[in-house]
Amino acid sequence: MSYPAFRYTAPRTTREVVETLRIAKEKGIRANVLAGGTDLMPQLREGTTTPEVVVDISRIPVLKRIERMGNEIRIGAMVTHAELVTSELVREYAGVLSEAAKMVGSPQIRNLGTLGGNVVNASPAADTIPALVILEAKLVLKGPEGERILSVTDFFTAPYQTVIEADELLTDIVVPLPPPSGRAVFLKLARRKAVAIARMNLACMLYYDRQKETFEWVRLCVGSSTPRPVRMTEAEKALIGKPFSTEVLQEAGRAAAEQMVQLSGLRSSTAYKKPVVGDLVMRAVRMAVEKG
Amino acid sequence: MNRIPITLLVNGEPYSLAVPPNKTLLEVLRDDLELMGTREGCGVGACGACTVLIDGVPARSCLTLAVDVQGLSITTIEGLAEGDELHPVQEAFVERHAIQCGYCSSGMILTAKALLDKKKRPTKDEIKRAISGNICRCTGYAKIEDAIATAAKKLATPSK
Repeated sequence: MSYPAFRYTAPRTTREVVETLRIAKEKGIRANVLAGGTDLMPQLREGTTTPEVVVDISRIPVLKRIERMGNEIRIGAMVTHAELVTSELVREYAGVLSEAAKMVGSPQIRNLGTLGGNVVNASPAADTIPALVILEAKLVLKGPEGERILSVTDFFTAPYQTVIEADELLTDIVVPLPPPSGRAVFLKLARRKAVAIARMNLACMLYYDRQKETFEWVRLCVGSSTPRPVRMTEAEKALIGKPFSTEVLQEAGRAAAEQMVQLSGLRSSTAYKKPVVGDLVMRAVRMAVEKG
Repeated sequence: MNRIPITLLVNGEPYSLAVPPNKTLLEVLRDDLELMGTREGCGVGACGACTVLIDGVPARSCLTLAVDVQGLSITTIEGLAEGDELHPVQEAFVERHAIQCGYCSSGMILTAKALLDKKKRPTKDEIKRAISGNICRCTGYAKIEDAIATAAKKLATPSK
């Protein structure tokens, strides 16, 4: 058999999940939450994750909902990438998240893999994370003491590392409705179009005022290029208040490349990534402006 | 090791069995139900050979624990033909020579069936997108795309 042995439980409520995780933590038992399984299962097979208990959260209805609550959209952690692609609510108010979800893996992976799993796995190359960053999404973590809500940028500490405690469950991803004036773009570079991990991906949302001929606001996040996801604030600053011109775009591209190197240091991939991040930023900004 | 009782509806047949929690759906289909049409390729969800339909939706049986699909309906390649009569998608794969070594065929055909269940007349691009998660190292895909387009036509005409 290809998988090591573990105990299995499939609670029906988030409270039971947290209780199971709390007891496991208290007794020093290694527990893993199983959502869609597209990351956890290969890790089990390779032996890089060795749980004694697997807590399957796929039977919990509340984790599968997508709903608008006032000025926010609440997305349950078990919502699949395929559902993000088709959800009218997500397409209308957080279209860039739909676009990002569409780029994940393959149709079969999108049918299984979940938004919550993509976030908690915390791969630097995750496609949905740059989209969540520019949407200024918040994460709801439920623990024995109750809930805490974190900004998505405060959640990650390093590649595959987050602040989630062993007895906490990510229950919801909350997306505040972005200003209707915003135009968003998601780009992904990989070896092929499907079943490929991003070499670099980028989410961008901005408002360009055509009367004033200036960028009013810009949100930019480049994935697979920094140890943890961050806004490319230097590139944003290079655009805001400026007109749409080749020089301004080039300056923004340069600023993004410099910020990437500053955050990641010089790596073997830097010679390749530095010019590419600049070009990708320029391309995304141009595409967003051309969306009108 | 502890075993967990589950019931599965596989190709319309109910099965009750007790499975260890670390057994994948793929292993249960092959080892316990002796349905050998579902194949393991990469084992980590990248190749699509192990694709089955879970409640009609294409999914990787190598990434799915059997205990996780308790009570759900599974379609494997064995569930498509009716007696000796092949499913129109299978017929089209044979007619258009879309099978060479055959290793990807089960997953490819089930993925194609799920597409055609949803979309009667898919465009070439929609066909390519649908099978983008199924890797074939023999055909170069042209014959497979052709077969799926042919199957769509077969399904659109009520009798042969």
